[in-house]
Amino acid sequence: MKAGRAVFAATLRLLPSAVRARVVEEMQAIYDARMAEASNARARLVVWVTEMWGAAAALWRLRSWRRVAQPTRAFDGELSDVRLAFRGLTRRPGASVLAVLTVGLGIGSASAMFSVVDGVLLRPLPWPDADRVVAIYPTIEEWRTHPSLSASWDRARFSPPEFADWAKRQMSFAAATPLASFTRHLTGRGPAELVSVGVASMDPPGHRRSS
Amino acid sequence: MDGHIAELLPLPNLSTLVLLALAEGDAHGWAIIRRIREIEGTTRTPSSGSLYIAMLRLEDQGLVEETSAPEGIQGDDARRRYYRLTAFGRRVLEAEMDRLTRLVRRAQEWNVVARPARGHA
Repeated sequence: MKAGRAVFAATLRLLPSAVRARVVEEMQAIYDARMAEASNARARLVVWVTEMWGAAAALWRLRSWRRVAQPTRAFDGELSDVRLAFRGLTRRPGASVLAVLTVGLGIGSASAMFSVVDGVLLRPLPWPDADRVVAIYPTIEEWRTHPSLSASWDRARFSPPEFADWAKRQMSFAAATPLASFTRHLTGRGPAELVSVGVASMDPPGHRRSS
Repeated sequence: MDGHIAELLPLPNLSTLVLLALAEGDAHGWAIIRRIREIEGTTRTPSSGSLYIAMLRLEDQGLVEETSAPEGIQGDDARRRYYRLTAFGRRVLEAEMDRLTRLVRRAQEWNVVARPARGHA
């Protein structure tokens, strides 16, 4: 039953410190006395279960003993909640630094995420009637079943003459402008760098329709 | 102070038994458990955890207090803590017993329990 006693002792160590010093040794003495009294293995098992149940009850009922037993000392008078919290932080600086870093990281990532959501989803584009602007892609039916091109069958690109033809004939939009984006290697001074490039026409003649 | 006593009543059953056990004399936890067993006339006894939930509350309410080991048993288990009933604790116990006595009398009047024989009254 040595293991049983070790489990019981370990459970008692979980009691709040304000209580531990007052009860743990005596509780172990009672445990030992009851075990010594138990005449056989079954009786010892009953004692163990009873004592473990009692220890668990004590853990639960006494978990906030300091607060229950000394309410006037903790919350009345000049000692405010803030000062009490500050004392708790200074008592365990390592844990406090970790908590501050964790909270900081949480706030930082949340605000970064909000910036993205705000910029991409919430805030309108910086020109009038931004909700009427659409992107148009040609579709290539033959690509649908193509092993490597099927992913972009409905996001193909216009060639410049295709776009010019489409823009002249389309009747649905007030204006159309070709855009392209790709990556290029930028070389010159220092090591080469991969850069994102965006290209747009400057309102080419013939693409604007009167509306 | 009497008003304060009234606030503590009725006492939880285990608290009453602990105070009653200590009314017999100072005792440590295990001795309290054995006395409770004797009072109740049963082998079922509270666990050390249950006992100390009650003891801590009684101690913080000022009904019991820790005391040194009585003369002559210093060589007992050094882990033992001895407790005694305070004067306030004795008055609370008396008030609780008075309350229970009145309950029993009422039960006797209504024939819920048998009246004691005259010879023993």
